[in-house]
Amino acid sequence: MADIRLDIWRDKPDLNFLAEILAIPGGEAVASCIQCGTCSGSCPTVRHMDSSPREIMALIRAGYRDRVLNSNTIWLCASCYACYVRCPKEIKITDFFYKLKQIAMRERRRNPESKRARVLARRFADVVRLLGRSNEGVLLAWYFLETNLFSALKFAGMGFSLFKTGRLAFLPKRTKGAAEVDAILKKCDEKAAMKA
Amino acid sequence: MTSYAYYPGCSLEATGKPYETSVRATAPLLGVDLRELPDWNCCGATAYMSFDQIKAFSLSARNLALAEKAAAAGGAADVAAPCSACFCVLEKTNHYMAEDAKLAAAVNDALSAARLHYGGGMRVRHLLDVYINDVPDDVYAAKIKKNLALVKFAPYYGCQLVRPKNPFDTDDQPEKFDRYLRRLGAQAVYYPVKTKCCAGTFITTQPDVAARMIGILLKEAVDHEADAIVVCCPLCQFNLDNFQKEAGEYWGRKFNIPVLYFTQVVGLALGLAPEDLDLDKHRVSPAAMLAKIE
Repeated sequence: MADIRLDIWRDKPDLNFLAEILAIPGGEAVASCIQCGTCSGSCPTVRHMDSSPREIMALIRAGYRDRVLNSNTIWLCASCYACYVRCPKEIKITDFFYKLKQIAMRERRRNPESKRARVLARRFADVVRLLGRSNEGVLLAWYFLETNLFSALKFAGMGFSLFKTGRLAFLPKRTKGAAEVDAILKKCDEKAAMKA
Repeated sequence: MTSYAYYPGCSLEATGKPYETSVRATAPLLGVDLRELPDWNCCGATAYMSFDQIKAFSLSARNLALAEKAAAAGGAADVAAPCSACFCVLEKTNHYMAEDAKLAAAVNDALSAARLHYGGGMRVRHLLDVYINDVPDDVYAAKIKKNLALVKFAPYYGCQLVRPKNPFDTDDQPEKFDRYLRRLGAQAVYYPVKTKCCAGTFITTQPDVAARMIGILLKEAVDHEADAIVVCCPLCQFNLDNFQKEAGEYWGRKFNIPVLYFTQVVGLALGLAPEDLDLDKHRVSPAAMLAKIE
């Protein structure tokens, strides 16, 4: 974990960041955080994070926009909801991190460590848009082409054993309602465009 | 016979095929009538939530709206999902829409593009919950044919069965899965990491982080002398079964512990052949454990 005290004087705080976060639905949660650290203590991946979940809350309030949105922290949340159910202030931390991921993705933050998580989220959405459902074979093939062909080799042996036992399907099934799904997603896009 | 709107989810069509096979083999024997929700789409999964939350909720709600429409025409009132990730998102959509009128309006506005509407009338259940709570004791008593008394299982609940909110069991140290395995005649060992995370999709995006997390789950099961880990989620099964070598390299140990779906354990107790439950399709062979069944 990086020591945030060392360079906190070098970063320029963005005093509007807190207001921006408070304005998003669910964002008001950050105001009620008591910095108890239950989230960080419950987190199974905290040891790999630049800043712990508790620190992220503090950094938001202090206005360190880039540090929060460039952190690997939000991408190391596995959605296990351990912090969510334990938070004494009932802050829905997992949902809150989803929001931060969305902002980071919208702003195309290029954190190399989080690249793979971003690609997976985006491509997952693309596959669902196309097929109405996810297809593990198609998704993984696409994902590895875009991220790291070399690491795909490590998966090749396992892929073969899955394929042999009929557990990997590359021929995608398209949901009959895929057109309906597409219409629903388009409507979401239109509404988002209207708001922006 | 109680009927359910069955939502298998994407994984059960591919990597989770043994789960699907064993669900289909055991449900009719227990009087659980699963009617696949016609034309279901993606549940709005974890990966989608990070991309766009309202879209994820809308995707999820389309399934609930379809089920509600079927229920109005005399169909089942409960949606049953065998995948914990699907269950988690469907259930979350259901209770968030019930608690937040603004969200419900936004989702229904999106659904209107497909001439659908979700009024909040469905109950979302995990299939494990159905097998535990809806199938009466006398059915098990009458149908159990094999003796599993010598087999020790580590019941692995995972995260998304018991969190963020479920009417099924407590979120920290749940007991119902343990008791269920005993009801099937097997032993359930103390498994302190029963609700710890299996690393989910990190196995593709952060393999080193995942190897460590998977290793903890395998290590605890082995150290508590389990013959196998029993799961109720295709993601957990996939991670725990397929990455024992990587997890072992991280922890400097050798792992070789089979990982079964609970429906496969049910099938074995009911006297079905291992091949009919796709038990030959897992990475780690359950042969040693199967030899303990009488």
